[in-house]
Amino acid sequence: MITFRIKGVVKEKETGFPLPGLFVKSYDKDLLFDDLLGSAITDTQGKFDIICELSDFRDFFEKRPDIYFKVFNSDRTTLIHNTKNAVRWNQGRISEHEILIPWEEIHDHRETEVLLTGDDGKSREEFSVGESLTIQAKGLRPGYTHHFALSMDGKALFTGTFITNRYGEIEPTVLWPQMGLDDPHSEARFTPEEAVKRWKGASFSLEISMEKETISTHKFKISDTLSAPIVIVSEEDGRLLNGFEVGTQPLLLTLSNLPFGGDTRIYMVPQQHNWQVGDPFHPVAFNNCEPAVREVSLREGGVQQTIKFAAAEILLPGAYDFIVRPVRYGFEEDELLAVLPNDIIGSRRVTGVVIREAFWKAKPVLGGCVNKIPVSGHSISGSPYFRYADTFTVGEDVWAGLDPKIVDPNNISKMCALYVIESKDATGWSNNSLIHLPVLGGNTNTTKHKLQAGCINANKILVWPNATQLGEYDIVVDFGNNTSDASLFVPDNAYNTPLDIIDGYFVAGFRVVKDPGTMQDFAHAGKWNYDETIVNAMGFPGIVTVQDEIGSYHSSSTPTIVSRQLRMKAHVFFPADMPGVTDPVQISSNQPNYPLIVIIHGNGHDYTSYDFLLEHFAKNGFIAVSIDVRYFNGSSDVHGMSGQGRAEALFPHLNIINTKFGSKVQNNIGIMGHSRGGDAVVKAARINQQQKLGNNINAVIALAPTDQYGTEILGGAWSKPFFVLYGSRDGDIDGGIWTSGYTVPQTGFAHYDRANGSKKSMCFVYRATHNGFITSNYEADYGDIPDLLLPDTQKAFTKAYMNAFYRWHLKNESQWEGMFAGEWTPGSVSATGAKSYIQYNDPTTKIVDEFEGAINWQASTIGGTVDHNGTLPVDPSEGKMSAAVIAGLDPKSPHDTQGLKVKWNDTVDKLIFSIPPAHKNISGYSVLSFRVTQKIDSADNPLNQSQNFRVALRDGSNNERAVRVSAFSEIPFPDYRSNHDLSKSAMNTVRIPLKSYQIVCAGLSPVNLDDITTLTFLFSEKMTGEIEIDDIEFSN
Amino acid sequence: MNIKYRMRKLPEYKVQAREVVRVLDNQPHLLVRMEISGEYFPHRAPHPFVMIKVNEKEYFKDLFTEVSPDNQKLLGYLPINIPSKGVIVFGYGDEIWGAVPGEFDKESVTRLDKKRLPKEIVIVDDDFLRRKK
Repeated sequence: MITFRIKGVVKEKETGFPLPGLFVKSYDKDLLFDDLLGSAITDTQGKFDIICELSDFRDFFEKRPDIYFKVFNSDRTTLIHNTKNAVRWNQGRISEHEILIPWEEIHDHRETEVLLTGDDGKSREEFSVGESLTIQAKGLRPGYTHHFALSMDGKALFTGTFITNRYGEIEPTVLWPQMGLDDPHSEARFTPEEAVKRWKGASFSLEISMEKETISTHKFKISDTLSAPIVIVSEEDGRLLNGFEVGTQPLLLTLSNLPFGGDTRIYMVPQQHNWQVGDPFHPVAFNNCEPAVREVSLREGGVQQTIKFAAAEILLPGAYDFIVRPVRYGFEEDELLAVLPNDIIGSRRVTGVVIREAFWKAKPVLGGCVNKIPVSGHSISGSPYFRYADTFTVGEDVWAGLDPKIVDPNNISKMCALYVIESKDATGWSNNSLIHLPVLGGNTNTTKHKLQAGCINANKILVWPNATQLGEYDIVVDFGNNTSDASLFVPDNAYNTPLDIIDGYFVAGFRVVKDPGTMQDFAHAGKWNYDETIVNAMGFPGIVTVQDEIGSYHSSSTPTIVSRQLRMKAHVFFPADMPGVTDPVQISSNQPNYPLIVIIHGNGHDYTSYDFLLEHFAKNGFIAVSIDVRYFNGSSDVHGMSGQGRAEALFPHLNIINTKFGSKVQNNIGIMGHSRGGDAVVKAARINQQQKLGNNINAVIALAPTDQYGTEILGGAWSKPFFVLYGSRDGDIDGGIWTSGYTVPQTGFAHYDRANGSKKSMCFVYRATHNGFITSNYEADYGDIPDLLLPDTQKAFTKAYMNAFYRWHLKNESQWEGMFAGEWTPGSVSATGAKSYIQYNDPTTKIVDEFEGAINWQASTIGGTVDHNGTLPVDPSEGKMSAAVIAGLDPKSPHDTQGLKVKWNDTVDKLIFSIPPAHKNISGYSVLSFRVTQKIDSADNPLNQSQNFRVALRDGSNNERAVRVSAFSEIPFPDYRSNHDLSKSAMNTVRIPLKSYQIVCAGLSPVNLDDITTLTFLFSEKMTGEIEIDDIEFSN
Repeated sequence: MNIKYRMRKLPEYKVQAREVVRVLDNQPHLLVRMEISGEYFPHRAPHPFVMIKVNEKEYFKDLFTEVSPDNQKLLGYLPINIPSKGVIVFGYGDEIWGAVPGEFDKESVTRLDKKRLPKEIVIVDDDFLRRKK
């Protein structure tokens, strides 16, 4: 049977958006009667796939089909498009087709449906005060700007614009949050009872249009009585108050029309975009560490009442929702920390309250006017329904969510336009003009929106459907002529401080990239397994002998060496052009040759467990091998090999791979070792260099490595690019010290600290384990189990970071470097919600202070002085960071380096590093970099909060800018383990772009980077703190 | 260097007991909830149980037992007329996994104020069990 495969995609001609759900029939053109070859329905990407046989069309001597298509609507009968006038003649066994249908042809067959819903998600024509009016639509033109206008009794109330997604839908989007509790025209705010009177009898109309065509008109009203319960944050008189500055007033709740009274519990929880029954929640804590939960007794009958929920002095900045629960005495169900059917949520689609940081204090550059907040994000189907993100995979939708935390209160109720622009450097921002991406229609097609009264918008607005243009971008919220009246609003196509908002500026707001965790250059991977029999047949010994250590040892002692036999076994994956390939000669011909990756497993691990990773590597253009490093005891393969044996095992396997793949394999090798294998790959790099074996090992990864075989250092003559991946809940390499001579915890942190001479990076994943990155969390400590990341989440890190690291160093793809510098996280990782922290070092640096050598906190490495001008409560301490065994700064530091411990107790405290004149020019560098951690167990660090401070640079003309660390990185609260002895003060790297000190920032002069005189840590952001810091340097 | 050895953390079984109201068959029922913690409790094919071993032959049995969503607790629901003394044992199917160290005293159960409970409350005790049979 000879089959023919007809693959295709149906798209809108003008925009290129895929058209899903259409019925496609394929025909063979003949002289008399055309033959139907088959039919299919387009998938979400507009693709279809039809298989037919030669007998379906064979006619006399015809051996190849002449193909054309008819495309029908989803009803399968209404013809939309016909390609009979563009027959593709004599098509082969596999043919690919693109059918482009003009919008005009689609338009006539689209059924437009627009729904207006309230808090219950049901379409209605009457709503209750306090509900959030939400719009959703389908059947519109994909990727086009649509305008809506809301009017009351014939007078315009407000207008806006939305862009439809790739399917021609407007996903549920809030139009008027907490409807009626404010007046969009006058900015007046009402109590629930006042609101009912204000809107009584009014008639509302919503019109949706595209260009000049009116698509639909909907009428609705606000009911004369409260029909839905109301829970709002309010003034004492019960008027809506959705946001205020921290410390300025208590938190008051007004409740009205509740269907219950009596014993009631109110939880204050982190804001999320939507709430559904069953969503789990956890109450936040006040700054006195008490949970934000109140038990109150409400009056019966739903009467309006205002209660004091919390005093001003115990509130912390953030965005919160409120869950109100009737409590029955003794009922177990009422203790559940998940939304129950009888719970009342303050507002399902808008934030309950935003407690803002002090407005000016929150600016990234002290005294500067730039409003930088996260804006871009993903709309997600489950809780919390919206997640901020700075990275989008090609083809994803980019949403904007205006985080109200630091929005200027003056922006309330103002119209704005959302621009997506290409990210600009400092020079580019000398001109503040905005160019909305041409692919989105340019400046005339920005999405326009009104920041609602109270400024508590959990508004999520689609700004870029199907983002396919790789690059770095910013979203700018332009308030134009600063008006509340939509009919008068005019964007000014410029980013103007202090009014406008931006999500990037100093760095890119977001980027559209390929995702190294999911991308594939090859659709298929071939698989070849070999063992000692196959190796023998190739002319190599099937069993080799390696030298191995017995037991662990420190570099100060001499290991006992034994010979071990090793059976040559491995799994090999390689790029392939078709499925089912098992012979390396069938390797894809798309490239002349491929880099090689070899994996060395850990003790007790199985070399076959890495197949998922090998396949991923192969589909990304690598020959990937996992070797068996158990040793042969004469009858079977057993675990127990130490570090050297695992390292030496690498080299005979390289001979086999090189022979088998010949010219198809490059002498361009990446190695990855897990656990004991992590020690072994560092050792292998040294052996390869010292013994002149000639293997070009160009990238080394250690996954949860041991550090127990002679204090190996990846540096000096065998320095290589290095990446360490390690979990905070590793139950195997947990941070203990078990080898005589070691004075710091024997983990990957020590390997990272000691490595030198090449770029190095380490990713510390909170709640990840030793084995979860590859298999499961089976080794985890009992007490750590409840909070562990799922193995699939950990594997997302493994696939994305390892693939990107090898693509960077073995394929010279520099676009991945930002991942390892902590600048961005790929979508497949960020979507997991897991927290991870990066250390990064580029050896091309100007070191200010690395705290090595003689102990003297007042003298820096660069030759300057260090002083706190008497501000700190105690002098900083310099010394060995780990105090686990010998004297040092912190018994819970995992680091093998010297550093500085600093404690402060006032917001005017500071630490000043002078820069000697010989080093004043730092213009050749792009970032100010340092490593920092909160000191674990310090009472000076607020519980469960990130730390924060500013770093200032001053020039010879006394121009100074102080940049907020939290604008670029996080100094997280340490991850506490159930066995607290194993919790770690783990540093991560903060990298502040030096352009932050030069870029246009209204109110501040730029700092001259040719003439730097001081670098100052200003502890202005938290009243108290205690941190450990290292490697302060100017870098790239 | 002297290595500072540390003990591997072994399961330490603990129990907390309190009266709770649980809606069963659409009616509120008063029971004693025994929370056993100390290790990872998997979901298995055999049903879990929590019992009080009164003497070598006599066990005071649960009405039912559940594994908590985070696998950190066994939640045994027992009639409120629990014996005054005994050893709490737990397990799955017919297999006893472990016992809480020490003797359990019924005075350690946190009781609810009966006056505040709904009138229609069903008291789960021996009488209830007899009627249910």
